[in-house]
Amino acid sequence: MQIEAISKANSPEIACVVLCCRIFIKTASAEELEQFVQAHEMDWDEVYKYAAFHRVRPILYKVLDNCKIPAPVLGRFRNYCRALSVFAFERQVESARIQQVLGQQGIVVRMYKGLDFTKLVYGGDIGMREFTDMDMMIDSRQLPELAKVMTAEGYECSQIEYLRRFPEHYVANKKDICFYKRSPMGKLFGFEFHHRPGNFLMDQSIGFRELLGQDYLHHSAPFSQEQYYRLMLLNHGASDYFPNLRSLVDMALLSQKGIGSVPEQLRRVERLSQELSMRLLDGPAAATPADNVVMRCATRITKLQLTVTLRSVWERRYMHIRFSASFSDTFRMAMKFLHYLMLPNELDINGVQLFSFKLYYLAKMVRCVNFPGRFKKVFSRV
Amino acid sequence: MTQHDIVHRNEKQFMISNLGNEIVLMDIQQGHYINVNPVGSVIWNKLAVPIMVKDLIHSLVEEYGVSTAQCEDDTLKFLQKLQQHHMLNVQ
Repeated sequence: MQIEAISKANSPEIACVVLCCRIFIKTASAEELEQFVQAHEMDWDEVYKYAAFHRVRPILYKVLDNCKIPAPVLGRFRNYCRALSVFAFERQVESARIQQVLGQQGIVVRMYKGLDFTKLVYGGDIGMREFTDMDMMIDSRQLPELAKVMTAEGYECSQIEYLRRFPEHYVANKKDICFYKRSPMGKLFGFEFHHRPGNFLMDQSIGFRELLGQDYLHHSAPFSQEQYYRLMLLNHGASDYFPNLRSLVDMALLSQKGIGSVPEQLRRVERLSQELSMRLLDGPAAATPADNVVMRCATRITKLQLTVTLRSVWERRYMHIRFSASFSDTFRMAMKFLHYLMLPNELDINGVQLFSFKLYYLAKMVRCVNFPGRFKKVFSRV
Repeated sequence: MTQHDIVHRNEKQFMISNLGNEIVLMDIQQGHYINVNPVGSVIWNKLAVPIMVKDLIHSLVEEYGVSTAQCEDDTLKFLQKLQQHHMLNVQ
């Protein structure tokens, strides 16, 4: 898509954000940005807002730093990036500490995505990519022990009761366990420990082993670009349907290195990634044609990204059904989605003490039909 | 520190992030943050490889077109600050 066409159909501000991403991945030149900025009256507050939505503020700062833009605007980006760098440093130190503490207790974890990914793909600079949580991989058998250690370290988790009482259901239904703590500087440290990469609604035939190799947890060598390419296809694509420009920049940077083949289950997502990269980031055209569903999906995501529309949790889940490959897949996914809707979660398990997991299906129904306060008294008595 | 010393940046105990033409560093052991301004960042980048102080000053004089005396004074002060923060190896 031409930048002018994006500007006319949407706004010059979102076109500017897209153009900065293109410059960063070298599919556009800085001169194009200079000309574009001169030709359009830009609301820089909007540019900042859109960059924040797309989680590409460090990219915009890097690109705009060499461009003639108002000093206060650049200052706003700079301040954010300074804060991000400082927070990234703190998180790096805390991640190393937690890994060490867990290692001393015989719990093997391995950092991935976030900081580790940024170091590999963004030229070693951990302040170049926006991120929030620290992600680690773990063997599901070590989750109960992990919960004990993290709690002792002062971290809070709303899922501990669920894990303690129904560990098998937890592992079957949840892909991770999350812990949070305020840093001494008042910022929130969040750790997500993943025992598998895909959520409940996703194809479970592809796990960490299929993506990264048999000894993915114990291997001392850092993950390669190829391993991350597969992992991010699953994470950004199959799981999140490319929610922002950052996810596409990640994929573009990875694919520029010349990646080999991906597992069969990820081919459609890879094709979707290529289509989006071509439309939004002016990436190379894909060698193979995409099916109609992939094209419709690409159109929908492009529209959401250019109109800076936040996807609700439900829309994200619905996309799994909407963009299934075939009618039978759609039906299967719809059934899975229904199961997901009924599936109890930590809110139900923390809210009421029942002796069987099956009874929590009922508890969830009661909670979900709890229109303002209707069943509040019932629950408070239980 | 003299002009004949060979200097080389010490980044072992630091985490570094490039912010446009500035650099932010964190001393991992002390937990201190250091912000290096654009000119300091240029010097920091030149210190990636061992370099004699007089060669460093010469290259800065050429790059910025400032007087040798001024550049010498400012550069030595900056290098001393780096040394204070354990950011510099001097041979």
